Amino acid sequence: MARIIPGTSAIVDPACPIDWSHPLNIGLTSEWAIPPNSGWRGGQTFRDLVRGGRNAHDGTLDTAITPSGWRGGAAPGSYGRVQFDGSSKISLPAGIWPSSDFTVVVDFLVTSTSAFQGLLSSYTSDGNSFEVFVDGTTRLMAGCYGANSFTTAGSIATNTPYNLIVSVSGAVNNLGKTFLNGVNKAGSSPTLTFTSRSLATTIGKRSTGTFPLANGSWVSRVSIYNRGLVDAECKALYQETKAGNPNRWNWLETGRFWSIPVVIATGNRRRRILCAGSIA
Amino acid sequence: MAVNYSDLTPGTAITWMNTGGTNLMNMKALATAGIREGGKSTTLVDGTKGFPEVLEIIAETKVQSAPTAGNECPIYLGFSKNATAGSENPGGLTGADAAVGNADQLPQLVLVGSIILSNALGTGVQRQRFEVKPKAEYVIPVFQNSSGQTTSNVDGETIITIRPWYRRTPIA
Repeated sequence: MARIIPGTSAIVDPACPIDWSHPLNIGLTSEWAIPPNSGWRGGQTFRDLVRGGRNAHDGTLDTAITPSGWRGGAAPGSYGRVQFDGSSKISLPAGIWPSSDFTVVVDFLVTSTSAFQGLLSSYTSDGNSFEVFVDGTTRLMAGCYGANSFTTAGSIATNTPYNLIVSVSGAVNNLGKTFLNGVNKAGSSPTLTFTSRSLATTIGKRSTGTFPLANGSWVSRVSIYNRGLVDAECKALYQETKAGNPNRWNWLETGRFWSIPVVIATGNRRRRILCAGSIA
Repeated sequence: MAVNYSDLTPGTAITWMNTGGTNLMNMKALATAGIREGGKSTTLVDGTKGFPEVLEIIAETKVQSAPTAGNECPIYLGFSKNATAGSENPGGLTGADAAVGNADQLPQLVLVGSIILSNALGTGVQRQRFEVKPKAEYVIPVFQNSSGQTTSNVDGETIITIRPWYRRTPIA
């Protein structure tokens, strides 16, 4: 009995999923995503790929979408997605927010833009929190609603996958950069007063329990960096979610090379996430 | 028969269960939230084939009442380079059949994956397969019961099986 196991190059290395030598992983502190591995999806846990000697911050799905929310395909750049039911959320543990500069990345789709919908939220009403949400029109809002926030121009269409990157950096934590599908939606740069960084954080709903994503909306990845990403990095990350393009899982099929077409700094084209068949 | 391709060839499967397995690991009637480690394996290095390229893991359990769909039983592996049960183990593992004291020890281990439990399967067998790349020549499995139910009280119904696969390359 013998066999070739194609799966060895088609599963994430559980011991260390992140290639820490890749420039797009510098400062990555959490990445909740859906890998092809058996037992890493389909249950109550939204796995943080930043693990292997690091304390993973796995998220927990509400029971109403466990396991019904897990769906395959249709999410560019991802092996699957978590689909919301109009009332549920994913809860993240404490300790996920960097103390100073940070960047958040959210890959999502909404089925409606007619109501406030929390994509990623760590909210308090005193203006010292941070969240990203669809603001009830076709706009995206980042910052703290009612206080210091950044609103994009009308940008969001229903049933369209988006890669959203919000970069917060500078001595006063300027909320200065919001990339949507690789394009900087430049606008005002209010000072962010995100001082309450140990609050509950949620995906798919405001952390205090209101503004859920509309039924059928989904999220396929959320990442947090402890630094502000530069423009080229925001554009490169979009490439891995671009429909029809090589994405962060495609190398799993091609084996040994990372195929993002955008060159970063020194010309790296390596994979960002390691497979079990990786050869260092 | 000579072949002109490289493939993987299986080694001997190693089993962990409360009785009758290669190694002792008492997951019988394990209460929910319980975490159990098994005995340390013998070496995974084959005298002829060398170090395995892949470990195939099969985890199966039964619980005493139908679990909530989507609840999980995570499986972890602790790898060690030392043959002695209690030496050079990650996560404070003892290398013998025992309870693991605290879930905060688990991040030092390799998460293999979880048995994603089905409600429809009820008290029947729930089984899931995984593959991981080995990190050292001795291995200790860990089973975390997050099913919300107590595992079966029958011998040999919660089992972890590991089969090493070795690279075989033809010589011209």
